[in-house]
Amino acid sequence: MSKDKVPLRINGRTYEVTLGPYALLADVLREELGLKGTKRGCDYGGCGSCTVLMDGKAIYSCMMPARHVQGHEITTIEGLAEGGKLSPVQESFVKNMGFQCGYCTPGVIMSATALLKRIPHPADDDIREALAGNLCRCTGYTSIFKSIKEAAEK
Amino acid sequence: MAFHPTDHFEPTSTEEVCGLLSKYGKHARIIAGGTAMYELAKRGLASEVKQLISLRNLPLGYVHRDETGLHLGATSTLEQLANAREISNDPTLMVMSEALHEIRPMQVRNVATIGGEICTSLPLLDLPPALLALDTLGVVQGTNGRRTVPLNEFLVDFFLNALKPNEFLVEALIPNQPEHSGSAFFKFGRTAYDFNLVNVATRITIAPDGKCSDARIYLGGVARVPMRASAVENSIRQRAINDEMASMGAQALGKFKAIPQIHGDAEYKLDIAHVLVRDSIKRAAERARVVVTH
Repeated sequence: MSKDKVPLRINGRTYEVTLGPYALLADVLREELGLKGTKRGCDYGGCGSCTVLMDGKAIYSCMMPARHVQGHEITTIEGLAEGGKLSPVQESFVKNMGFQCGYCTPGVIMSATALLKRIPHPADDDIREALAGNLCRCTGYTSIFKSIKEAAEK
Repeated sequence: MAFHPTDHFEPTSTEEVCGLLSKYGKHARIIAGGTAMYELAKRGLASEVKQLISLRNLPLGYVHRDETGLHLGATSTLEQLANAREISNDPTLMVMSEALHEIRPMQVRNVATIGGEICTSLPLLDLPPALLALDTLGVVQGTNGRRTVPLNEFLVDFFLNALKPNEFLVEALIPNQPEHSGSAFFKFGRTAYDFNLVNVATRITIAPDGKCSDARIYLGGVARVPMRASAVENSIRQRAINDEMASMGAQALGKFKAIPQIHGDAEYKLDIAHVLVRDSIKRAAERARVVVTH
């Protein structure tokens, strides 16, 4: 099996990663680079726990060939805080209790971050559309919704 | 997951792609966004695949219109198409816009491509029925040049398309639609992120006398490939379409055995199909009339 060293840009850093022909981004992030904030959930592109950003757009890392992110900028949940300070979206989730068990939270926050980058003041339907690919089994979504709305108002 | 490819290629020309396809035969598989490949691998349907041929370095992510119609490059992402003015500003292509927006997870829309939606030949997807309702052609590149294949011939069976071993899809071409056409897409699924249980894509053309001169109605989720509702199309042709006619048209769908899924048995799907066909005829005809009035 052919393996190559491939440079990947993740959270502003370049990592030289040895990749097989079909390495998946979620595995590389978690197992090779130890970035375990990105979760595996359903493993078939339905739950959104594995959501990361590619050039600012939300993608499922569980089904993303790692070789296809070469030349793009990947952001994971670990890359949102700057200088030890949480991002406004993260702050808002903490303040509004936008999570309970927390397993889906990194993915939800990445989807919300992508949304606010695209639409700084989203309508309710924009938020629903952005979160359609993220499942939460605890909160009933109300507190997630509130967290995103409040982050958008800042 | 029984999926262990040994090579990953990133060719930069169509000739190179065809060369790799010829060399490796059934062990080679095209990959674009990767979502379809993952789906096949998870279902155990790609165990023979050894060589992955990525299209990411080919310039096929385009959308442009010329006198022959609207050209959609095979690696255009669904989100790119959802935002393309060439689609959203054309009222006759509403069926496309609506189908694209019904593919809910943004995470899928951002990477999945129109080529993957077509070539997977999975009847649970939303875009193929919409493309079929618009008489879309697949533009196929092979070692000996290009050929065009009507999409209804391209989708052969469940997970089976009409590509020959050394061919791949480079473009979907939506021909110019007849004047005074309107279209609509309806989907019924369990949740926002599930595949559809049933979807319906309809295009209706209204003649100057106000009657339906032509129609295309395709249903997804009910058969091994999107199913054309020819009996319904025939029943509404040369008729003025009002609410009553739309209901009568839907009755012409008759009884058939839809593919059952865990979230909807055959009978349930049939009921849903009747309702969606009726509503999509009404909506498409309303839109065609607006086009006529303007």
